[in-house]
Amino acid sequence: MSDRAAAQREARRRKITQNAQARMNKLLGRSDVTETEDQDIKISAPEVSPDTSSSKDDEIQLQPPSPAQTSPYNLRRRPQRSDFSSTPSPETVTQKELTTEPIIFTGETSSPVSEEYEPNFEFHHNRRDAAADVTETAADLNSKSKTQDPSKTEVQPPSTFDAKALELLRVVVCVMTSLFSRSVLALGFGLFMVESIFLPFLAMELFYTYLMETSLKDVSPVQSQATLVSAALMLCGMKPELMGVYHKIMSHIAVIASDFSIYFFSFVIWNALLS
Amino acid sequence: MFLMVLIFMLEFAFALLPKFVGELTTMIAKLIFTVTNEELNLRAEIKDLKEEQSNISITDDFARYARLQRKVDKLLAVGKEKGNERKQRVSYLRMAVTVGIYILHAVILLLLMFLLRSEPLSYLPHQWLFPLGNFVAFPTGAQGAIGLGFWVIISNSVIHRVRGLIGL
Repeated sequence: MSDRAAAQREARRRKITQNAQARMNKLLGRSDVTETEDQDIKISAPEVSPDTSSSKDDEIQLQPPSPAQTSPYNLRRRPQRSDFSSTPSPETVTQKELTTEPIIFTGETSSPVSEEYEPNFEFHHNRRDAAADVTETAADLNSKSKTQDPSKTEVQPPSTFDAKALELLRVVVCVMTSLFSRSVLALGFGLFMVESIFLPFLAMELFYTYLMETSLKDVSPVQSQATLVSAALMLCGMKPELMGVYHKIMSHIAVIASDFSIYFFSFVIWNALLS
Repeated sequence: MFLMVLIFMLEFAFALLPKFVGELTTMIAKLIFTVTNEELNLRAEIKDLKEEQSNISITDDFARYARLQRKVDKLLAVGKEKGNERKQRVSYLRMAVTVGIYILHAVILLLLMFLLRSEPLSYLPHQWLFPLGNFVAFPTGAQGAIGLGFWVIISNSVIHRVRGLIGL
């Protein structure tokens, strides 16, 4: 009677651990167990002893379980009573499930419920390695998705500028250009044959435009906000293409006007400081 | 030069002032919208009724408890209505403060434009300002002068740009 109870307890424990393995395999995307793969299950009864303390020192062997092994419905795999030194208690079973120690147990290939168990395989499982498998699988999936779409896998050069950095650079260059203009004009020389502070500014803006059109195409400039005028034009029935051209021109004008303000302001400051 | 700096600081102050409308409104509301004696009495009455209610057991004297609760609810409703009225007045005040800031800004600028219409803020060699000399000299019209109108535009543009950069 007690043997029967022990066997039933063992069967219950086995079923619980099998389900845990099945859940893990579902996460890993492994297929279900088939009967033919039961034959690949290893048999090593003497090495099994989940209750012994030396199990912690055992070498962790990761053998990828076959689908047959991982099915929760593979009732052929049952632990053998003779493989265990003592009958495991339900408490130790649950503790084993919660730890990351290698869980070693044997199963049977005969009928799902029977009092007699036959050793026919050995199965090692380590949840830490399973977690590593999950990450590896995810990485594999990502790499697969990338290889499947070659058009999207083009390596783009990292953009060294973003809109904010470009904005700051513009301000700094305006200030430096105004300092340069003020220094040169104070010496009595004319810039570009004419003593005008606006020509260096014009040259600077032309250089910026050339730079934006050639090297900094990827950097999207700071978008100017839509104004009431553009909203009114849209309501008047202006074409979207024309609105786009209008927005582009107005944004250019706004940026040039803003740059000119910075340039002139800094010129006046440098003039006050240097004179 | 002093005038140029003064006008720049003025523009800077008026650019930042709308951010502090809430605080200004609170300060003004504390002075204007004080709590009346009627409301204070109402609050004291509610407090007394709640104290009396806390001394009564709801199971032993339910009728009296319910009567007190009805009184408390009625007074709370009156207090809430008065509170809503005050909140509405504060929101109107906030709008008025915002509009007032802009009107004050415009009035000061117009006053300065009228006073400094023919006085330049600074001078630069006129050949340096070629070909935009007349635009820079607005509204003075003098050659090589930097006018108030042009300087106000420049100051506003610089402040706006710098605020956009630093996220202020």
